[in-house]
This record gives sequence, C-alpha cells and structure tokens, in this order.
Amino acid sequence: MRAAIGLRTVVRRALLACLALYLVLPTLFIFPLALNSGGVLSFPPEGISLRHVEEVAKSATWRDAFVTSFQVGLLAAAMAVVLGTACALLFPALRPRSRTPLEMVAVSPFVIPPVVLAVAWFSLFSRFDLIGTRTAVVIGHGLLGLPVVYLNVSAGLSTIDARLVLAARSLGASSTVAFLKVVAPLIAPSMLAGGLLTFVLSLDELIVALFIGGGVVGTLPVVMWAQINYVATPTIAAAAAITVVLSIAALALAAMSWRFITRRET
Amino acid sequence: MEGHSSLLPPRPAALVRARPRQLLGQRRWWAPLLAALLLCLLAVPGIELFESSLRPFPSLGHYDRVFDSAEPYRGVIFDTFDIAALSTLLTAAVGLPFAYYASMRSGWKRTAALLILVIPFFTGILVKNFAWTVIFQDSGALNDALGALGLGHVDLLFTRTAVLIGMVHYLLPLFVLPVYASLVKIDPRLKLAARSLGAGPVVTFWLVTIRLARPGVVTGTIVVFIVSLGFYVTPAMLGGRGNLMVANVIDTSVRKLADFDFAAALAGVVTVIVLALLPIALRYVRPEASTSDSLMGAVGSKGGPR
Amino acid sequence: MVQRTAAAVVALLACVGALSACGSSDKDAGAGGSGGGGSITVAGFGGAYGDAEKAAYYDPFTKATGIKVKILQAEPSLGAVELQVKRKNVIWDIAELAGPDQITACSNGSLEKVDYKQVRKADLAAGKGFECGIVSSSFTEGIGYRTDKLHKPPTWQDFFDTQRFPGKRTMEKYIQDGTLEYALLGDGVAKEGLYPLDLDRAIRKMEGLGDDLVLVDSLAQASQLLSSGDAAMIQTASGRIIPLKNAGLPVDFAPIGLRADSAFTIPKGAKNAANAQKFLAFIASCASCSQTMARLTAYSGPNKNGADGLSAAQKALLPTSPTVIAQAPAQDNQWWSENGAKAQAAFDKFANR
Repeated sequence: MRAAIGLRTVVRRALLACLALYLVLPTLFIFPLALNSGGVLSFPPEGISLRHVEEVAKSATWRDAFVTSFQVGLLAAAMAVVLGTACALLFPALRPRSRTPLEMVAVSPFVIPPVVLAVAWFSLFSRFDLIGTRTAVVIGHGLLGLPVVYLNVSAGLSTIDARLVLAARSLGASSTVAFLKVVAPLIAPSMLAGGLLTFVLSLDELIVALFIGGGVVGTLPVVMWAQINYVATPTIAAAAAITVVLSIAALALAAMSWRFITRRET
Repeated sequence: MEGHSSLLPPRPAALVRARPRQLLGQRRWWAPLLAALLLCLLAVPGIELFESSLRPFPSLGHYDRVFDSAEPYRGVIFDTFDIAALSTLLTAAVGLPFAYYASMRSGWKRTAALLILVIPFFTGILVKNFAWTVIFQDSGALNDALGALGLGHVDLLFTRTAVLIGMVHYLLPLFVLPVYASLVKIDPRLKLAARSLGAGPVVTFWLVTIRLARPGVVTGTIVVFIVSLGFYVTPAMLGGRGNLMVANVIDTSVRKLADFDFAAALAGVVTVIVLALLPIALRYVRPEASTSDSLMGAVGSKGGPR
Repeated sequence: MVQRTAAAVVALLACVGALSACGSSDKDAGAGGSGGGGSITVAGFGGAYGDAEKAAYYDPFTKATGIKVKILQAEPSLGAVELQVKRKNVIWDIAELAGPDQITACSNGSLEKVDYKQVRKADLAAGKGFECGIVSSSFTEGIGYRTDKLHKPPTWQDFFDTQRFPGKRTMEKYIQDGTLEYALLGDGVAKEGLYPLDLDRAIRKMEGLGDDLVLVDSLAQASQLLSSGDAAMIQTASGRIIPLKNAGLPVDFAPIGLRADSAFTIPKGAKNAANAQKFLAFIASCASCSQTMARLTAYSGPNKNGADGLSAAQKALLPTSPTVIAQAPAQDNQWWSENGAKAQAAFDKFANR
C-alpha cells in the first residue's frame, strides 16, 4: 500500500516539475541569451558579459520605452478595471433584449484580431487628431482589457451570496456602503486578476500601439520590433530580461500593498 | 475540527445566486453613460469596418474572395479554428490540474505555483518566441539535450507542434487565473458536508468542486479560445507553411498590401462566427439560477429569502 | 479598509508620476514635429541600419540646415502610410518605404511628388530619383551561405539543390524582394527571360524543396537560422551578412540577386512637407552622406559620388559595381504593378499548404 501511494506522489511531483520547467524555460533562457558576450543570439553563450545590459541601461530610447510601457500599462489597466467592473455590475440588471447586444459590444475587442481593431480605431482616433498620442494608445489598450475584466468580474459576481447584501442593508447600511463593504471586497480578486491581465496584455501589445501610436509612442514592443526586424541581437534579450526583473519587482510591490490594504485591524 | 453537518451554523455560505438588483441598488444613473461610451468606442468603429468590407457598396465581392476555394483564405480560417480549438483543449488539460493544485495548497507552495504561472507573462512575446526558436532549432538546446541523453533528434521548428507549444505557454495563465479564482472561493465546508453525507472523493469533486468552479472554467475557456483565434506572432515565428492563422493573413493585407476592405471582410467572417458562439458560452458565467441553488437547498439553510 | 485602499491608490499615482519624471523630457509631442519650421519626423527602418542612417543622413542634415530630425521607432509599411493619408492624420513627414511599395503608394496618390526644383537631378546617380521619392539605400540581394558547408559561392541552381548541398533554405514571404524570380533562376531560366513570370513554374520549384524550405517574414529570422547553422543558404541582402561576419561566424554572401532600393518618401498631407523636401534635396547633393552610408552598411546612397573613398571589397558589394550589374537580374516594376496581386495570391496559396 505504501509503495502505491508513494508512486502516485512521485508521478504527481514529476509532472508538476515538468510543468514548472515548461512554464519558466523561455523566461530563464532569456538570461543566458542576454548575458552572451557575443554579438548574436546563440546558446550556449560564448561567454558571460553585461555589455548588452549596459547598452540597454544607457540608452535613452530603451529607458523611455520602459517608462512609456509601464505608464501606458498601468493607465490602461485602471481604465479596463473601471469600465469592465461597471459593465459586470450593470449588465445583469438589464433585460436580455438590451443586455445581449451590449455584452457582445463589450466583449468585441477580444473577438476581433488586434490588427483589425487597430485599423478601426485609427479612423476613430484620427477624427480627434489623436493618432500618435499616448492617450490614444492608453484608450486602445484599456478597451482591449475591458472584456477580460468584464468576464473575470462577472464570474466573480456570480458566486456572491445575495443574502450578505441583504443582511448588511437590514442592519442599516445604505446601498453604497453595502456595496463597498460587502460586494467590493468579494469581487476585488477578480478585479485584480483582470487588471493584472490587462497590464500584461498592454506590456506585450504591438500592433495597436504601432498603428495608433504611429511610432511616436515608443512602448517596449514597438522599440523591440524596430530592432528585431533588422537582426535579433542579445540587446533585445537584455531588454526583455530587464523587463522581467522590473515586473517581478512591481508584482512584489503590488502584493505587499495588497497585504497592507487587507490587513485586519486588531 | 468542525465536521458534523448538524453542528454547522446556519451560515449563508457564498453560494446562493446573487440577485443583480440587490447588488446594485438604485445606482444605475451611470448606465446610459456607460452604454454610450461603449457604443462610441466599440460599436461605431465596428460598424464602419463592417461597412467598409462591403465596398463598393453594397457588394459582397470581398466575402466571395474569402470563401473562394481557389484562394487560400478559406483554408486559413479552418486552420485557425482548428489550431485554436486544439490549443484550448491542451491548455485546459494542463491548466485544470494546475489550478486545482494551486487552490489546494497554501503558503509558499501556492505562491510559488502562482508565481511560476505569472512570471512568464512578463517576458515579451517577441523575445519569448525567439527563445523558443533558439530552443527548437536543429542545433538548439532541445536537440543538444536529447542528443546528450541519447534520445536522437527532433525537427520541431516550423511545425504545428511548435506553434501549439508556444501558444499553450502563453495561454496557460489566462486559463488558470480565473479557474483558480473560482476554486479558491469554494467553501471547504461544502465539501465536508458532501463527504459527511456519504459521497466519495470522486463524486464530491464532480458534484461540488467542478460545478462550483464552472464560471471560472467557462471564463477561462472562452478567453483562451478567443485569444488563440487572434494569435499572429507565434504562428509567424514558430510555424511554417500550413500554420498561418487568419490574423497573419489580415496583417499582410493591412500592412503590406493596404487592402483594408478585404481585411475587414476577413475579420468580419471570424467575428460573426465567434459572436454566434459567444452567447451560448456566456450563459454559464451569468449570476442567475444554477445548480448551486439546488445544492444549497439540499445541504444547508432551506427556505431562505430568494 | 477604504482608507488603506485610498492610501495605496495615492501611492500608486505618486509612483506613476515619479516614473514620468524619470523618463527623458523629449516625449511624444503629439502629431508631427513642433511648429516654427524647425523639424521633421522620420519613420525609417531600425537596428544597425537605422543607426547608420542617423550618422550618414540625419545628423549631417541637422548640422547643415538646423532642422531637427525626430527619429521614430516605427515600421513604415505601405499600409501604415496609406492609412494615415486616407484618414488625413499624417504624423510622418518622411517615410522610408521599400522600392515596390513606394511605386504603389505613388500610383495611389498617397505621396507628395518630389520637388525637382529643389532636388538637383544632376547630383543623383542613375535611377535614384523617382517621382515620389529619393533612394535612401540601394542594395544587392543574393544568397547568404555558410562557408563551412559550401566551398565556393553558390548559384541559384545550387540554392535549390539539397542533394549536393544539404541543409535548410530560407526565402522571403515578401515576394517583392524577388522570391519568385529566384525560383525561376534556380530552375534554369535566363535572367533576360524572366518576365512575364511563370508563376506555376516558380511555385513548383519551391515546392520541390519540401520541408527544407522555410518561408520567413523578416530577414532577421533568416539571419538567425543562418547563424545557428540550421540553414545552409538564405535569401538575403548584403548588409545583413556583414554583422554576422563581424561576429566571427563562417558566413559569406553571393551578390547574385536583384538590385533593389528603399526610398525616402513624403506622405501626402505631411505637416512639415516643406522641410521634408529640403531633406530630400540635401541627401541628393551630399556626397559625403552617401559615402558614409556605403562605408557603414555596404549599401549605396543616392548621390552619384557615393562610391568614392571605399575599398575595392566594399565597392564589389555595391549594386553599382560592374560584377554585380553583370550577374544581377533587373526587376520589372511594370510587370509587378500590373500583376502583383495575382502573384501574391498564387504565392499565398502555396505558402499556406
């Protein structure tokens, strides 16, 4: 009996290890590619050197790209969370006749390939002379994240017990307070998940940023694309490695602030 | 610990369906604003795009071209749905156990699992695909490793397998996060209750866990399927011939050929198919009557206000 | 909890604000350049090539005229230019387009015509001045190959012979760069008899390579496969091989492909079109600019004296060298502007099997 249980555990652990390896492999790979002392992307690396990392850190183009990407990402995530949560809260209260079309509209940025959205939004933004502005890219990315947040928060809402709200109301809370103190904390994880996904989507998004930003808004993918189209060098891998490190730092910061916010008062 | 159902306090566990109006109260003054915003930003451009696909108005010429058997586009659309379905299945197959594992563990194991899931997300897709290229190529790391183990050689680059590996890698977090969020909210006492009523572990898992995680699973599946439909970087970099997806073709049409109207027609076809499938799937994420009501009715407090 | 959330939000906003202070002050100033006739916005190709253009063209231009050049990290594709012109929201003053794209855009009326009252035709080398653009670089295409797999420069027939020369091949999906022409040359068609292109024959030849043929979206992918050794021969341009050689890789280049150009163009309705015309006039007349370009990239610039001061080896790679002219086929732009769509459709069908 003990041997059989042991085998199951071993198999499970092995599978988990394989999965973990699969997930982190490309990310881990970036580092030796970036630290390659040679001038081309190759593995194993010729030697270890920080020269490509230095090149990125010294370059104003890359620095600006990081700042731009993080800013656009955060703002787009904020916009997506606000709009997506609003949709998730509003739509269930509508009759199916008005709900279904609105729902499809809200989810449409997900369904339509990004390059088509880029063209569609180009004509929209050009009317207001917004092409080539950061605002336009933020709006574009925010809209791209809207369906993600909407779907996540909807799923979260669907598991909430109405009686909690009723209980709060019957104890004298106004509907706003009941919402803030009962519903909001329960959908917060979904909102957070949606916001995080939007941020990452924005960080990685190329086509909309390229078209709507017109090359003026230099997010990381846009800058990388220009370089990659010539020849893929370890410099690009270095920029990617720096992104990973910075993102982990940002994530850690976010986790700590989350803990700070939800810490129970004694 | 507590374990006897008779001693369970009459606690409204988080599973009775929420009534939307009760959640929202009267705060719907902003509803028309939201609707207007959505329509302006999304519906209007969409309609304009659709209209452009019918140029010269009102001709279906572009759509004819999409479905013309002498042209490659029909095949590309089939391939796209094919690849998307396959990657969704694979992602779910790998992601469900992973999400379950993460929700069952606590402390550092859970954090580690989530971290491993999220960190790859932060590596840009362009560079990630270059990494896969370096791993998969004939003289790449994978073949080096296989050679060292005496396992021969694989020709993975520019195959559908490579594309799927790359896609599933990107899609896993999109699937696991909603499923995990759903699983984590399940009250463990429900499982205890089911067990104490005589259900075995498999039945409990099937009737309780899976049913209650359904909104998350459906969300995850929808998200993954739709995102896969729109993939273009991965098939471009890792796929070879026969692995082009519709987004690649649209991209060529827009950026290289400046044929915006035809691109709109291609997009229109994909959009219509998905929007037709969407309402069916969305029904599963709605906060309306579902099995958990009957579940709660059977297990816990009966006759609560509905 | 509300207070804590508010505190966290404030902290976040402060971080975002601090981040913006971290970035350099020269941010995106909206569409186009600043007013006052002082700048142009250029969308050109990136990487080492873009750096070379900066040294060869943009910096000397700013020095000579005082007009600032804002270089964008954009991909100046035909579609992007057409979209901006169509929607009347043009944010590029100069867009660097591939030769065939420049011709298409010109015939679509999407580009400003070159002001030949400012640009002195006498300064230009032959074929460098078009109706809607001035050449930014001319280059030779051909076969990049591994010197550890081949002992002498290959021909196009060698390219399609995987028996004698095993290993993968890459060809471009961007067929305007000559993919179909090379397939025909590989099948024994003489370079004078290429047009009208026999599409079926070209595609059959490519199919003959089977899985050994990799169709790439960018020459960067091709370079990667050559560097790693996966590909024995790649369809590429001369300037791509130079960085690989400098990195010590066993590669070389056979300049037996088309002679092609990229051109600086002015999208119609560009905000600083006047300054952009000045830019075109400047690079046409600046001999040292073209020389710098040739030295840095082995591509020739528009000026007719652009080959002066180069070594013999560098000159041999230029599209103006006699050896290249003798070997290289010339692309028939007329045929392409009439039959491009048909060729694309046939190729797409093949590319997607």
